[in-house]
Amino acid sequence: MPSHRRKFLKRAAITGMFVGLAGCQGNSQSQDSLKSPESDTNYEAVKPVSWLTLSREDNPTYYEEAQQAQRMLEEIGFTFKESVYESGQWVNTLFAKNYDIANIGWSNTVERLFPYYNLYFSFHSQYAGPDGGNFSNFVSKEYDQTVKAFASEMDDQRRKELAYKCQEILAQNVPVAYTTHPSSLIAHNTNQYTGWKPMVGEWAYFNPTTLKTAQHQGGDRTVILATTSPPEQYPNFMSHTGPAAVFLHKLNYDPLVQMSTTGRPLAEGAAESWEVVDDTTIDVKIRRGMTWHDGEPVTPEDVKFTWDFATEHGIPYLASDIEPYDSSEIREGRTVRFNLKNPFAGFISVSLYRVPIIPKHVWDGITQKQNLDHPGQWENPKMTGSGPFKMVNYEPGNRVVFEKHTGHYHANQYDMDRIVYNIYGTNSTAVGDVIGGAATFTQGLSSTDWKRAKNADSTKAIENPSIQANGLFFNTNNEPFNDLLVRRAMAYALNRSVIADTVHQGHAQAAKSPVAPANKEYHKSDVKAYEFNLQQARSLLEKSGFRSDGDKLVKPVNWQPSQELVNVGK
Amino acid sequence: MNKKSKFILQRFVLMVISLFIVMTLLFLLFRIMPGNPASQLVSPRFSEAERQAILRQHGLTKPLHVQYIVYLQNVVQGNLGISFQHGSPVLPFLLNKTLNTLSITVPALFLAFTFGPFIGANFAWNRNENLDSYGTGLVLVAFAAPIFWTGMLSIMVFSFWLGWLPASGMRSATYVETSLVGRFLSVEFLRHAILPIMIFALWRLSQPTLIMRNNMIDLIGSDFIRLKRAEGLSKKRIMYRHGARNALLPLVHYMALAFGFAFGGSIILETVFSWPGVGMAMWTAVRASDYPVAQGAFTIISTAIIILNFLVDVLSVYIDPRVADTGVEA
Repeated sequence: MPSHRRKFLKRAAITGMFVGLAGCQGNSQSQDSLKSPESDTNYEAVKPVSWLTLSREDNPTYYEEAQQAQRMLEEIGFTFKESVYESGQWVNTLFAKNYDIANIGWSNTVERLFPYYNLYFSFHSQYAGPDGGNFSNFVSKEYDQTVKAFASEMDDQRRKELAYKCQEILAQNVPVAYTTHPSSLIAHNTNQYTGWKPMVGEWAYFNPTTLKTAQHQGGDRTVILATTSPPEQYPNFMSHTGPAAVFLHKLNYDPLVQMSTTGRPLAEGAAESWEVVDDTTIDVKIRRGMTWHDGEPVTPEDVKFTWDFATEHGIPYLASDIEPYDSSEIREGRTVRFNLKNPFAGFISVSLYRVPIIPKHVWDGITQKQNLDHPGQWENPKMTGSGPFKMVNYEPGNRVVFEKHTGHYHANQYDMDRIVYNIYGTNSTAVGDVIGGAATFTQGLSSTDWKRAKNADSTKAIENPSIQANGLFFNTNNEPFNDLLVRRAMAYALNRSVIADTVHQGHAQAAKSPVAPANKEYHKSDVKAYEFNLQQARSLLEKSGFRSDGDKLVKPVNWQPSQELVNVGK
Repeated sequence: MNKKSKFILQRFVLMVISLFIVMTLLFLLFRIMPGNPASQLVSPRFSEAERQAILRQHGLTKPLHVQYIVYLQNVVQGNLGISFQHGSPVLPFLLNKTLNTLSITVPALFLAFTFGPFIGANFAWNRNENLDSYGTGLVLVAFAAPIFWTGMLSIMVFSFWLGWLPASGMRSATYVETSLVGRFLSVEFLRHAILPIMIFALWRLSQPTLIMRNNMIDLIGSDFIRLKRAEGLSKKRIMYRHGARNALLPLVHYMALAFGFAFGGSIILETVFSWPGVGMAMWTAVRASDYPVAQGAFTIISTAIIILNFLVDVLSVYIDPRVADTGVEA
């Protein structure tokens, strides 16, 4: 039996013993169960909590976290009615907010180091209710004001303080009980390339900045990513795209701003420099001497065209990045002035990084020329970009091949001639090919596959700190999750280190905030934490009116939430 | 119109009706299923407006009956639509993938239907002896063992341990295709194809083997075999020339079906070997709610099976004219 499996079984046995012992203790000590019902109050049984999670096939870690968390919450008396759905039905149910608890985690791409996504869209009240992205239906005036101020604050220090306050409000009010920050597990073949400086997040190697750090050791100067994720919508950049497709586009197209491996905006994109003129005005100076893959020069007109075109037609996956843009004007000295609708602090580090520039001479008037409703419907888009690599071959479901754009301003910094995004059926084969030398690196590994790579001589396996945050989203519109005491009780009942050790086999950190510790700039380490404490959990439930009637959890018939929200103040 | 022609016409009409029903069901099935092309992009910043924009881009906001009419019009013209995932026309895309699939399924079926009857005949001739007892057991194990397990096992042994054969794909990642013929006619392709062909053949071997074995057992006791024995013919001659030839007939229908299914390949086989065939394309399309590709793939498979069934029916009338009289399935 492999040692990792023995270790896993040992851990599972210890956890089992621990849970078992805790159970025995519970039976023998009265303070470990809730008080009995009071004679002068009418009680009713607490209904099973409806729980939404993804199927094991779609996301094994969400599914396993759901099972572990439910077992833990059963310790304080709750029962569950679980809905395990495949992604289609899961998304419909999630947006319909048709659950009491949903366990979710957001993927960790580097631009999310500016925590606009995790703080603003996930918790601002304008996204509460059906079809919005505030999946806990959290509504707090204090939070809305703080997060809005955070998003529009251009001063770094002030913005950081506001992000801290957002995290504290969330920690105090617990719309989400965070569980883990799972690491990104990656492996590369050291006989082909070494020296990788991984970028924070899941796409640690497959990005223009990290690819510059890879040093060729042997083989035919080709970097092959072995992946099981086909791009969601590719290659037409103007179609809806998706997370994997956006990373593929980063090789083919230059954004104005590149990102350092730690998430700082770098002047290594199409912009030579930029200047914040005021809260809604940003001047960007376009690099000289750039050419498109077809040899045409890149001009400020292309930049203005890209943003006007994207605003006119819309790119659904990038809509929130495009939304702050109002207009632009071409000024002297290859400068493009961006005018924003509202102040948005993430415009440089998020919007200018996520939206690359496209050639005006290819896309201008394409809807009329091709008789289309939307440029995203163009069947054979010319993938002409200005990026460091040129897409030369796309075989859907099989691979995407890029060749170096030798005319690129940083071409000599890339120690490779070709990059292949090679799609595999299974992770274990992908890892096997990295070990055997048929592929250069792979990402998104399970801990079993990662350990296999770690034990191979030809391979280096790394555990990249993650900015992903998994958690239980309480639907605060539903009873009893409209009560802060109940949410806090549940947060106390979660043993996060057990979840990290069993579900993620140790490759995860216990979480208490949507902003992970790997996000050194914005993570607040001293937010209110809910360390595993069943006694405290039960005492909060009692305070809220819950009682234990035999093996049933009951609450008063006329139960009302004791407290819905708490303000943090200054 | 004679009975034969009437029977064939009847079957042809039934075939057209079947195809129409299958296409209608396929159209409805994918739209009834939960999820849509926007479902794979779940994100808090992804508002309902953006989700609707995706559906609009793909023409999915039009009323269902309008979508259905457009779909039928396109299918009749041989146009299976445009993929939501990669924007390319579905028919050439799927035909290309189907070729990749057939490049492993056809050789595998050829092997299974060549060796299967031969092995089955031997099992029957040696009924209840060691060869039959152990052989039948082995063939059943090969059938019962899931392909993902035998496939992974073969990859582990021949690719990762021995390093003899590649573990994934149809060509190496850096291969540049210059011609369609070049894609299949090369040592590199053969090296990639050996494992999936062998695993698929092993799995498919059981049915021709067992059908042949059972048919032969029935035949061995028949009078004409006794007569041939009495004539003093050799065992081999009786077994292959007289026994096997008669026992082969029921395999024809089964073989046609098997080749029909060969168009669909095997999702599991292609996933395990990362083979860029129609099975994997179908699986990816279903997961991404890429309706045109998913519908198209199922349409191609259903059409192949229905047409092959029709051809078998026609063939049956010529092989056994009683079929036209009684309408009994061949």
